[in-house]
Amino acid sequence: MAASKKDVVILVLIAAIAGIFLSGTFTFTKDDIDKAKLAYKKKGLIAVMPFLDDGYQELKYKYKEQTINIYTVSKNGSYKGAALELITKEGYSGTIKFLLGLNENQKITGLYILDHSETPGLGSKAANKEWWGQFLEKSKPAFTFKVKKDGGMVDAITASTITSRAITNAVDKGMDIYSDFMKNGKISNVTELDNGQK
Amino acid sequence: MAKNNEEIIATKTEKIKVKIKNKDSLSKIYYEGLWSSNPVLIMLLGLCPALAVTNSGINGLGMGVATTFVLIMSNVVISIFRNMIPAKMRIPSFIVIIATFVTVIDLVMEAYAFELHKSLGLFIPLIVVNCIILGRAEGFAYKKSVFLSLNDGFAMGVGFTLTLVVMGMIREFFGAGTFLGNPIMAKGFSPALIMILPPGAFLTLGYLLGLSHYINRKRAERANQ
Repeated sequence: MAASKKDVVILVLIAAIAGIFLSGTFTFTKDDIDKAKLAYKKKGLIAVMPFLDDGYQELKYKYKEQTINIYTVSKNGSYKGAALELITKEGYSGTIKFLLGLNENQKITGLYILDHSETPGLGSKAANKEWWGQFLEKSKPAFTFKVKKDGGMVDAITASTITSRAITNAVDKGMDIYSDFMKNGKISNVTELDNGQK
Repeated sequence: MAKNNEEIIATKTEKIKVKIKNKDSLSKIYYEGLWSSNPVLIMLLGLCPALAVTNSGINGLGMGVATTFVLIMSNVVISIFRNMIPAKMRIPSFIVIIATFVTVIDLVMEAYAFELHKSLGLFIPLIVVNCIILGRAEGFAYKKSVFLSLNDGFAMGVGFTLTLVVMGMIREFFGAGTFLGNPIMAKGFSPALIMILPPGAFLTLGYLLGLSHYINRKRAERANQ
């Protein structure tokens, strides 16, 4: 029942043609895919930083063995604020990735969920302004970034304490990172990447 | 001698009748793809995406269109080369061809329909193992002409897409109160969340299967009367 040499040659030929066709498609779509990814990210940045209108700078900031992506915005030379890309692995169904916007007074200006696998209708409500709106204009130490169950001031989503806690704790860490960045980051620990165009 | 002639004519007529019944016509192909051999409801193929991505009408439509693209392209290519693909190597050859087109549609969706691509996620690459595609490749495209294979791919794809869209719209309506993403129920409407979760998928599919089989049975009973 072994295949003849001719059969094997034909299969290799089919695979080779498929490979060429695929690499062509890949090359053809590569730029558009990068553009689409960037547009998606920009949508999030605009959502969390209402002061963003011209452009932003993408930086990588080192904080305690972690490297965080920070997108800073300056207008006419004066610093307006930044968005931090934060990740938590403590979500109910795993990793939650989100953007946290902060202004120059270290007050929160927005929150935008980028990626999550939380339960639809329950944990997924974290993406709604009805929930994360409670973070707006808040800052440390006036506001305690922990869910009420853990002694803080944050209202958890009904029946989704785990999701709420995961995001709240990540926001708490994010506030610490940002305050560290405001103190030291603008001088050192920063690798500038590229200028984001509008 | 007359009896023999009658017998000969009788068998010949029977043979022609059988041939007509088995003759591939476009209307037969479309009737089968859309209803009588509906891939999901009758052939019970492609159930995994049917259950997994029908949490909304748009997702169902997106998955259906992507699968239809792969069905048509793979049917056409396999049909064109059906005399060159050796019988012993046909399954690996089919898989290579199908996987190529799935990757193509995956890249195209990522470039031009980013949010839909994100919603469907890992189920786009899983189109490769959708039994409908391999089933039609082996059962139709490998044996029939390019024109018929193209239409079969399209018919089966449309049947699949319609089923998924119907499932998606039902689940979306009861599970989130929306129609194609737009909320259409009053604020007081409390949606049955279970409908957009996995149990709801099974419930919806189960009812649709029951309904379509019931309709077919009633038709068969009427035809036999």
